[in-house]
Amino acid sequence: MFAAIHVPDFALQCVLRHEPELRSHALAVVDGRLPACVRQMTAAAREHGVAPGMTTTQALGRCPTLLFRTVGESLLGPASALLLQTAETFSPWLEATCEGVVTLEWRDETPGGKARHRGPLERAQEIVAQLASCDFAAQVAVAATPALALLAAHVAEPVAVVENAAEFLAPLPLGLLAADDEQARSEAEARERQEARDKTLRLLHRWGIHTLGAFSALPRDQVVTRLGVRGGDLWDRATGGAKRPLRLVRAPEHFAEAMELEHEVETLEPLLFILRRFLEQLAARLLASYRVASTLQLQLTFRGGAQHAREFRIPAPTAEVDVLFRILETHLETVTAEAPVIAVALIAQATRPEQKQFSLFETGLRDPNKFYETLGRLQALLGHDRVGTPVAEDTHRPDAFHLETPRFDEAANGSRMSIQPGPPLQRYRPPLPANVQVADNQPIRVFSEKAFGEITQRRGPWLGSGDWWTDRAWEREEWDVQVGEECYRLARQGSAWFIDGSYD
Amino acid sequence: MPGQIIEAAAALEIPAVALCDRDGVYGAPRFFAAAREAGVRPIVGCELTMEDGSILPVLVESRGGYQNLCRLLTQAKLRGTKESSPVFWSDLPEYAEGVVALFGMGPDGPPMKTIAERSERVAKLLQAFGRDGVFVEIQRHHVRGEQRRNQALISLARQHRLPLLATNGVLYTAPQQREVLDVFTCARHHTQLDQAGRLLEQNAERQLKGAAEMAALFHDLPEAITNTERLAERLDFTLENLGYEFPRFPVSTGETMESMLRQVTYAGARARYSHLGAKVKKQLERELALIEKLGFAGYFLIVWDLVNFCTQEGIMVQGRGSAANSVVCYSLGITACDPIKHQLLFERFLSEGRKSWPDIDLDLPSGDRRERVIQEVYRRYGERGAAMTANVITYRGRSAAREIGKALNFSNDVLDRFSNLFANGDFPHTLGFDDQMAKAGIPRDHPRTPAFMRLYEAMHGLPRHLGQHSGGMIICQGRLDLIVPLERASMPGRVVAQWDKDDCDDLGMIKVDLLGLGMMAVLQETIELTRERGREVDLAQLPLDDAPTYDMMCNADTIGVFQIESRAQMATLPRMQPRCFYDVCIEVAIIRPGPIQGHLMHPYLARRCGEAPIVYYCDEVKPILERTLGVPLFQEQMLSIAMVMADFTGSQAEELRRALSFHRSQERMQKVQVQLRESMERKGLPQKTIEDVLAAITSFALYGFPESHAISFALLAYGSAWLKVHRAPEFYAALLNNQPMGFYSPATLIKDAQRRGVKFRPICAGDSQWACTIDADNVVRLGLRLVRGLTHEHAERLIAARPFASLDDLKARVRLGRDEWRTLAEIGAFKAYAAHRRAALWVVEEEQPEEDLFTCAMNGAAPTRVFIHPLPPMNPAERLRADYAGTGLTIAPHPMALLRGRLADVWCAADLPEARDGQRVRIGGNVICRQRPGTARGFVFISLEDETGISNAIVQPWLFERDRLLITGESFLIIEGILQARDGTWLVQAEKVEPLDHHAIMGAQSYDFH
Repeated sequence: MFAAIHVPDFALQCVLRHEPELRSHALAVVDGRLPACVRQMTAAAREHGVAPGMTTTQALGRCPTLLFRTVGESLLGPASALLLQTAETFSPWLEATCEGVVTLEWRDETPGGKARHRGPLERAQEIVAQLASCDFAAQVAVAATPALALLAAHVAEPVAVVENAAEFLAPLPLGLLAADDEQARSEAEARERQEARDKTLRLLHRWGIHTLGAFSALPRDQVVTRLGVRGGDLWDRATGGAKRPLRLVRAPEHFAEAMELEHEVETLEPLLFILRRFLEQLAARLLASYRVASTLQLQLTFRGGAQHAREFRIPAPTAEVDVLFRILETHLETVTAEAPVIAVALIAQATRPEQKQFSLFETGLRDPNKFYETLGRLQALLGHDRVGTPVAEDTHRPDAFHLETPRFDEAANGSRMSIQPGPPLQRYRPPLPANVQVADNQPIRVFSEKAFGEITQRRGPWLGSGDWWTDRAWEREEWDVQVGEECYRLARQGSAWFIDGSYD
Repeated sequence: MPGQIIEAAAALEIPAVALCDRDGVYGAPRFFAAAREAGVRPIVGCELTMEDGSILPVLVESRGGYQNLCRLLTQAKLRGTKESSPVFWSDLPEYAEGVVALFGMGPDGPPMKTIAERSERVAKLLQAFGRDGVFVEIQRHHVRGEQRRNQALISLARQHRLPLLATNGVLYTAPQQREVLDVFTCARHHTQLDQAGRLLEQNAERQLKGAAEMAALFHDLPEAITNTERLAERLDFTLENLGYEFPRFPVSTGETMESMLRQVTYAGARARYSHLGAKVKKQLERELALIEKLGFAGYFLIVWDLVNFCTQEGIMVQGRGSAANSVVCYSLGITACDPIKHQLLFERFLSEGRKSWPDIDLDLPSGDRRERVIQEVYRRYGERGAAMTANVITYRGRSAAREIGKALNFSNDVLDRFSNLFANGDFPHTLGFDDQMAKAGIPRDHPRTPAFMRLYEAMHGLPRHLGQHSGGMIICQGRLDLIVPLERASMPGRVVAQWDKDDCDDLGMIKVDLLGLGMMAVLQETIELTRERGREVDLAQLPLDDAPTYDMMCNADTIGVFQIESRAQMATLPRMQPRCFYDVCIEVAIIRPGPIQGHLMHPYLARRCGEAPIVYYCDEVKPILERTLGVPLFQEQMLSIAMVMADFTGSQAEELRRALSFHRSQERMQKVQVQLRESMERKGLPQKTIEDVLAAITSFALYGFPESHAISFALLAYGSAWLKVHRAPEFYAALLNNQPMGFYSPATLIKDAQRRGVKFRPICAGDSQWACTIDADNVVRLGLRLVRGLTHEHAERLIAARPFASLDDLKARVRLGRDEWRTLAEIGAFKAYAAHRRAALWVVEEEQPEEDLFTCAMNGAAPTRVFIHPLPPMNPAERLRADYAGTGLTIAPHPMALLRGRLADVWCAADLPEARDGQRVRIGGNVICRQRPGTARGFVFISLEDETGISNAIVQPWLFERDRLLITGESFLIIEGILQARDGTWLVQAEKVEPLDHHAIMGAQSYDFH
């Protein structure tokens, strides 16, 4: 016995889960491909004549107030994971058939105490209810073959159990065969199969075949002669298909806990309390699957819609609640918000515990988690952009760099910047302000904390400017000057002078 | 832009500037023209891309050097591909004379890191260009590291005793233009500004710098400055005299070109005029004398010869433009309208003051016939003796926005929307830039909006790439590649020059325009079809007073007729009520931006209808303007007015003619206007008259239209209208065979023909030819060329294999692609061999085993089988869909006939005359025309076609701006508004526009209804 879970307009539902206030609005979901075309839309948009396949421009022509949301893996991935994880609680034999569809098999020996002693209809209803609690409106059908279950799931209201396949299938529209009934090995294969299937279905429509019944009434051998093996496969599906083994998948290895708070949280203590509980649940689930957390993602939603999101890498993956909790606590101690928290989500990315032994001459951090915790404290104290390893940027802007959190699990990348010939410059960070006296557009005297007096030799100016298309546009003039025995780099930005550094 | 560089150079008092385009001298003519004007000495140069990827700048010293450079570039361009055509080092010695080379270490190409590499390159250059021809170029841009590079160059110069040259590697005229350069850098490297990093310019020091600034920059190397000055003085080549010579026409011994021209002209004139009257003779003598004086006899003979070639080959040809003002051209058969009869002003074509060559444009049937003429020109003058002129494609709204948007990392979706908001085709762009940004989803306070706006303005009008002019060819006595570098066009068999037609004209090069005109092809084919059916027509002998033809025009029933089929023309025809040939000339000329922008259309029509009095600027101009009721409509009239009212001399009139023709030069126009004003004021004309005349002339400057041109076009318009009335099946068949052309789709043409009683038979695998043919009186058989996706070769294969005993037989003996089989079956082309379309589809879908093919080919016809076809026949809507999908048209009822049942409150087009003026109505149909003439102050005209005819609506600007995407994007519309019924026209003033949901009938798939 197979059950297919189908979440209609999956991408749209993913968007509306996060923005439920848009349910009554004219909203269309587009993917990132070009030209941007409407994939799915709300009822309000449909009423304005917006239809799948329209370009965004056409759709706006029909409905000027139409809102667009682009869906990508970041949105679909977690939702698909949730779907699988929910399905997993009903059967361990799962197939992630296609976007928004999970097929599961119920064998006689199917474990899962809560569902085992109930009939297929009750089990299907339970799946629907469970997904509804996660804000997904799903349709579930149970049938003797995966293909049949999938077809039935598309028309289930919201559940269906198919007993007489031929009778059930006959009036169904041919378009139901458009969905993949089997998990593809790769994205390319899925795309290729989809294109072939769409082509065949278009052809069948040109033949005047619009229902599964009409299709299955054609002699199979004649269909194969004309449409090839793929046409034959499609014919098989139209007749309910054969029993086949599922391409089994496991639910993804990240575990999420999320909560919309009934009472807004205004102080740290109750938030930490919730997070600790989340961590305890996550840790229990992780340990049950012999996994540890490699990253933690914290998402806080504030009243008014603002969000705070942060990802914490766990240098030494662990499932220890205290360790994980300290990372969160350290960070949250520094977070201030103007509005109270109304929703919390915590996602743990799972990995296998690492068994690593250093070789004789290899060095490593004694306790990476401790190091990162310290780093976290420093970031909390100084700001995120002020702690890390400096990495030179590919720009003409002098001394441009950003800080990256150090990683110990990858070979250190060498600097991509070429080394300028000439004497090394010891930079003063920040550059020292200076007063410079100028004659004939050349600096002649400098007064500053480091350098003071007459400039005896000078070379320059070197002119630079850039980032003109941003609000960080810069323009500067540089001179190499000698004051006494020392050589310095002078820089002018606007009317202000600085000493950038001194030459060795 | 070359002009900007010269302008900046003049402002900085720089005496000489060199322009070095990459692998060409593309900008040289404009650079030269601007420099001559500004008193700056232009130096021609070029940056050559060498085979190792390095860049070699060269400058031209002498005419020989220029010719060498042109030949070198032509050789490389014709040898390479469009993408890559490097110069070989081994090419240089042969073409080095008269050219100097600069050795530097620019940012392009592989850096020469070692001394040995640098020395090797210097040795190559010395070998090719000699000691006097190589200079070491140094540049200072205030960039760290350049000193080391310059030091290396100085050492090298000293080592090889080569002179140093101070240059600035100018890439723009003002520092702020560096931003555009950065965007171009991103485009070249397919990256964005955020990602480009050090690919971008380090500072903005590549602008033009004056002498003092350069002297200060190179204060330690004064000899470099001196050398630069000396070299600039040495390079005294200009484009003034390139040695261009129009080909001489070969004449027999004892003859001159002039005597031959006289001979053939008189022979032609005798054939044209039954009696050579004194007036004609006088005009012929006057023209021939002037042609001889100006030395243009050879040119006329060459064009005459080309026209003869066309005639011999059976290719219809007609000269257009001002050539029609010449009785010599008429006598030579170049033009078709008699200038004596139409009292045309010869000075519009040729005058004593004229320095440049006259303009004779030949209209040819578009397509293969025209290509045959072009290839004949190449054959006669050789691959390096003739070339198409180039067409410089510049950055316009869409292209500029896309390039900038990509560089600034705007999303493709936003850029798509921004582009879609531009008007299409006839629509002038009326949306303000700010509004367009907002509608595209780029907020005003977006941090990158200011940069976008700056760049958008700066990039507009900059050259983007080089295209090919639609028909302009230049030919030369001897080798054209000594005058201008030639390169391969994308189109096979074509060679294109690096200059556009205006550049060629400025440099005294003669262009012959071989323009393809779809209507010429239609006329030619119609005549051939009538000949085949024994009711031949001679276009030249058509009666010009045919009442049914004028009746049709008066009823605005002009779909498919040349020039007067547009929405605006059709709206004017019922008011204009043309009843003679000259009315058609005016009709052709009147719906033009020129007369309309000058607010001259309405006065003419008002005067014609007797609603306004006929008045003249002054009595002297009455003879000039009488024919057009006192309203100047033609350029000839403008010239005559200037000669009468402002006492313009021949050369001043020539200057005015050029200003009217050169719509790109506002400056030229302004100069003439000043002269006009001064002259008229001197004559004491009233200020209002002066202003009126000047306003009329200004509007003509934008889109001038000579009377002779109007007459040439009116001949085609009248001819096509006559054929539509009297030879309708042949005319429509020819129209269908020459698509795409004109304003309307084949689907609309067929419906129009059906309304006129022409019958169509469907495409049939057993009967249809490639083209549409005439099956019987008033019956057109649609041709296989209308089948989408069916190749000509396959169609001919099908035709050659006829007759067929059965579909099985056909399938066995003809090899077609899978989709071709399907389409033919679905459009009913196999109806003769199967019960219905889907029955045929079922058969053709079956895989044919390879051995069967062989067996059948051996045994002749395949055995006939009895088929059981399980597929249901198509219903009317499905047949309609299949027709549109497979051919883009249907001969079955219009789609609206199937939708009519759901549109109870929507008026049929044919019923509109029954509605009263001012009544609120709803019309609906397939949008066959959307026009927004610049003249209509933002109003949009929409034509909707339904099963009974065409209804028209006018949309007010506010409504259009509000529903712009709906109006421009939907193929079926319903329009509600107030009916205006006037002068036999019915126009709905739109108040509400909504999409007509036709998917139930036509399916969700998008069909091309246009």
